[in-house]
Amino acid sequence: MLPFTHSVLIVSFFGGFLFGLLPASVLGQVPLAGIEANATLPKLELIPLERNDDALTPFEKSELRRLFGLDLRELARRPVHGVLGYEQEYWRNPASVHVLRPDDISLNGHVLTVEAFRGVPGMHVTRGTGYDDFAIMRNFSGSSTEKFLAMVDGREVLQIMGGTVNATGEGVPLEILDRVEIIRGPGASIWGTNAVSGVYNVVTKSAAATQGDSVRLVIRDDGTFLGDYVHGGQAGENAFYRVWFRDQEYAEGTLNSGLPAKDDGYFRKAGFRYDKTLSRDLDFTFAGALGKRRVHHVLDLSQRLLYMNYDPDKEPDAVDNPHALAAMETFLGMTLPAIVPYAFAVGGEDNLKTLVPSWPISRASATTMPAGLGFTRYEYWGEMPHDAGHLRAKLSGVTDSDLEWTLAGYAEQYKTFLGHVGRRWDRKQYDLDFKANKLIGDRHHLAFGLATRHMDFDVEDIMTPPWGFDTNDTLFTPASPNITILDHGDSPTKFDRFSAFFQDSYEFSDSLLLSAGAKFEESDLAGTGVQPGARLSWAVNETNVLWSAYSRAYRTPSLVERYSKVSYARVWVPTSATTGFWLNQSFPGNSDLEKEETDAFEVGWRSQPRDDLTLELSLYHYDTTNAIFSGPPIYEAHDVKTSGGEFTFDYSPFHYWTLKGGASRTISKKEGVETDNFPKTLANVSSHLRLRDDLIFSQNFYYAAERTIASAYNPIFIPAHLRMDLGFIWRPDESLEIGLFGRDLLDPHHPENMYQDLELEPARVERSFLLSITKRF
Amino acid sequence: MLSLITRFKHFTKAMRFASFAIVSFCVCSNASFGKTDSSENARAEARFKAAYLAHLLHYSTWAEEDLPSADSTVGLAVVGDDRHHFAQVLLFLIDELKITIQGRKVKVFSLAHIPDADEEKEIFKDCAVVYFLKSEENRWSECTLCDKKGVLAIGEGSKYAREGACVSIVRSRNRLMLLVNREGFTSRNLKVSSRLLRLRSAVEVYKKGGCRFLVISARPT
Repeated sequence: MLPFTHSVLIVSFFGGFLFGLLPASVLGQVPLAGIEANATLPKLELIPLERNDDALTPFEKSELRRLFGLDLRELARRPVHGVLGYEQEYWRNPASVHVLRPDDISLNGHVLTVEAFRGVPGMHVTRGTGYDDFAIMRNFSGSSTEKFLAMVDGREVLQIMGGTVNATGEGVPLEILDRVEIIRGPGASIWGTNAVSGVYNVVTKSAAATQGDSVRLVIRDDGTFLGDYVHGGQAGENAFYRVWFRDQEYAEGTLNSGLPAKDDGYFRKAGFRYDKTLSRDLDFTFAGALGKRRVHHVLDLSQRLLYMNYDPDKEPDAVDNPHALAAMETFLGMTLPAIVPYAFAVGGEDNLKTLVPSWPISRASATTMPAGLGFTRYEYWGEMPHDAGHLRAKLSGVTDSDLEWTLAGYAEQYKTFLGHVGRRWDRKQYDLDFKANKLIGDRHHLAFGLATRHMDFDVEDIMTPPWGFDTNDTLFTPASPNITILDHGDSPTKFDRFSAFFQDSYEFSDSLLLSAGAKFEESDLAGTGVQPGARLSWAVNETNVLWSAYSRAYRTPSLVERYSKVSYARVWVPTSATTGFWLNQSFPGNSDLEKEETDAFEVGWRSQPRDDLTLELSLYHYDTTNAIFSGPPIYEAHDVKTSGGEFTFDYSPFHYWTLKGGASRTISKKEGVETDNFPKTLANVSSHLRLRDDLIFSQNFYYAAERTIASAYNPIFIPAHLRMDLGFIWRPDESLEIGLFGRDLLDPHHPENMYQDLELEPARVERSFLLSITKRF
Repeated sequence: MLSLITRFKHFTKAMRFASFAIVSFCVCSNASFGKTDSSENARAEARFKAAYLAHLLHYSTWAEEDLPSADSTVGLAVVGDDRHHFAQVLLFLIDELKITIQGRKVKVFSLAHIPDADEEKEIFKDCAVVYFLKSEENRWSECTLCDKKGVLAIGEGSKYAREGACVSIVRSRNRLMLLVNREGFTSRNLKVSSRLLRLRSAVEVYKKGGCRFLVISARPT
């Protein structure tokens, strides 16, 4: 006999289908139209139509323009009824969505896609070194690039080692970019794990849409260069291909202090895509890319090799380290009010070379700071090569019963060496992903999927020269010259993940739409979990939509957070005026770190009061438990509450002028204390004025309020900043575009970001001038 | 292996719970609200169709002698029960995007149903395009407009192209496709772009007896 719950399930299931599939007339809810007998038919004639602007809502008009903008092939790919979570550009979508298109990049003087995120309210984009831009959305991260999910054509590009996204490395040529969908907030059921702050999904064009050749060249006044070449062709009646190549050359920038940033290097990448229509109901895509980057990165040693200052008259230094002090107090078993550890190299006279002759100073480079700063900084530069490649194969089809499905497989290899901290790893990753959706009746749209992932790491921790000297790991172990900065040890290197999701979107009426579902996941890194979500959209009238959502999202701790022992400093312990020993300062990875869990509540309003004006407001509150704030001295889990909102507008008062922009405000509290590592206010305005049919004047303003780059020993205050970019874009015909831009015109330079606790100081983001040329053949 | 089994046990448990939740939701929502026509969906489909039709005008060529003089307007008639404002959608698109037929402005008309054969020529005399809505599928016959040169006859549903019209816009598997009858074009002194015919993912060329659309039942609009 079937258990009770099974019986309920079966009855419910078939009952649901039966009710759902019965025609409306059977249910007696729609009266049958009556036909009057012997009615006199009016004379048949053509009736000229006058345009009735009220017949279509402004939302519908916008969608119509967008549909007509698609070519027929793309139009044929679009589902008439989209699935919530798949189709983002649906005006009833109960989510905070922003879509970037290639024009948002090329008309605004951006070189890379990630730079265009500056125009997305709620996203904070900063530049660190010349080769990295950091993007994050909806404050509460402890780091620069964490806590949101990034995808490129459905492939997750989150680096699980550090829990970060290398947005620059995942870039694609502008010519093949179709759009970037940015979904602020967790989309639990469809996207799943790591989509905590939000998701961005880069979607490239089909090979058929990029036929012919194109070249894009961008050169900055400092010599930074980007060149893209795309070639597309036909490989049979129903098959298209493209290949593309990218070369990026980074010119050396300048650190905030005026010293060279040593961030020159290059990034080269090549990719391909092959699309074939196997039959009317079956499409096949095979794509891949290979990338190679060569740059250097630095570790600031000044802050990591500490010693005890026995001079009671010595004033504590600004860069003292309370954690080292606490360690020493524990070791000595006494309180040390007058004994303040601080960076040995700061202060001039306290020079390691004379006081601690055992340290091999020649292994690090000493940089004399500019006059006036009065100290020498010790640093270690290591190469940071990155070689990555991936393949993607996808079959997509529709069954006779209208079940749309995709089966995708991904294989990826990523090899890198963080020479400055001595970690090399090689990640091999395999993903298999099945998704399907089906309309059930007129009102239900069911989406579901299954996915599995296997990751295999080869991790090697290498002793870097400045650290290769005898050090006691603990007081009770003999001194060893082989204590690496990072140590993965015997921790696991193979990880599996299984996941599945269901989502049902149900239209109660033409104005009320509910989407509910959940994602289930079982993984070696995050355990078992369910991420439910429910979203409701209500079209109040023809011009206003209100929506609300609840989602529970998880973030998986990174491998470093869970498994790496981090030796973040060494302390010189004097035993006499001239002798002593080095004591390692470290903390282990926390394999007990639980996944971060965020309960997110969102409400939104979308309005299009006129054809030329769209307004959106989103408000959110995140309640996060076990939020991990990374960076030495230790990975700690905290409860964090974040509230905020974004407002956006899109206004085209005249056919020759468009104005877009928005603002966001956010407050985050870690254990009740307000955090300051994310600007509380962000705003941007973008204006495009068509001076002539072929000439556009572009103006962009970006504002970020002040913030502090968090650090265990050297937090850096970043003042509020207003950026102005101006540009002219000449488009004499569809095949040629030339743009000339001035960026950051309001000040010569300013700091934005750095890798906390690794780098010496932020690099300057300098005023720059840019020439971009795009030619299609 | 044991951990794998345990993991799957957790997984199936969670799946069972979710299935129950979702199915219960489906049942409750159905039981409470029943099923009525969704005009929002139908309006969405009308927008897709209008976009298709606007594209189609670009891929079709009329003989100059079949069109009025270059400074005149040409007619586009929407025939049938237009309960989802297809004609207004189309008119918006034509107006907004300044769509023309070989340089001539387009005037949109509506007509309640297909006229009798003897009225056809008179009624459609100034029309270069006639679009038949789904409601007219059963009235349509191979004779409709067959004598009229320079009229692009398009209909909603596969029957139109199968029975002599130039193009059918067919909904299949939540997508819209074009079924092109080349004979329908040539018999009306029209040309269809070979570029359109090569768009195999969007277009199927009708061949008598060999068309897959024959087995596809288009959804009611």
